[in-house]
Amino acid sequence: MNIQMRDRGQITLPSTVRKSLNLRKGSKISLSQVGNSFVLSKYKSLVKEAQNITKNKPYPIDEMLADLDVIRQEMYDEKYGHK
Amino acid sequence: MVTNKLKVVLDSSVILAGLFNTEGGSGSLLYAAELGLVKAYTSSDIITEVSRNILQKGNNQLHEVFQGLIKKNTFELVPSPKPEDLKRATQFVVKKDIAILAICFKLPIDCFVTLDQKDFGDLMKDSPFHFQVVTPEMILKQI
Repeated sequence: MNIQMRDRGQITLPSTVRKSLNLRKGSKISLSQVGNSFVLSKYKSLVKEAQNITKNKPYPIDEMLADLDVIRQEMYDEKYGHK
Repeated sequence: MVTNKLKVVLDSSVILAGLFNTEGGSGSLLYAAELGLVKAYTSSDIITEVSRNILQKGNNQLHEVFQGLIKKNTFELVPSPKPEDLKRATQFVVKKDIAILAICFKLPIDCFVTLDQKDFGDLMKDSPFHFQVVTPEMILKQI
């Protein structure tokens, strides 16, 4: 389905889509970029909910990878270490 | 419409980073998995790694949300490899990563996605397997 963007980025969702997703004036939907695409969704995302919980709790990637290394080594030893 | 879904194994680093970052490849890829835009496999060991990490941080609320993601089948869980399945993987990675690589060998995947460039960097440059080893940013353009 192709739709055309108007001034200031406005688009109209076709009525078939609005009906099938039960979208009405005032309905809240989220817009997210995924790779080269944008996803419009009325769906409650648990990933977004998680990101909301952690948004003020920075976890630097280097620290995260170091922590995971320790846990993974522990788990390997627990499961396969003596085999 | 996505007709040929990418099939990927998500490493614990990607899942965890995706839960913690609204921006960046991991968050987008995890969201794509939740929406079913990619077919995401992971193992019970990976789930345990992520869970332990979250609980070590004392974040019970985040842990509940993560459990919800599992229950709604965001990932297809595959069993841990048997000890006899580990041998081939020992040639390519350090001991701690043998199990996850052994899982990838058995799945019909396009990519193994990890943020661990320290231990998987060489395989990212030149994969000798039926799948690529990539970071989230490397595959997002294919979705």
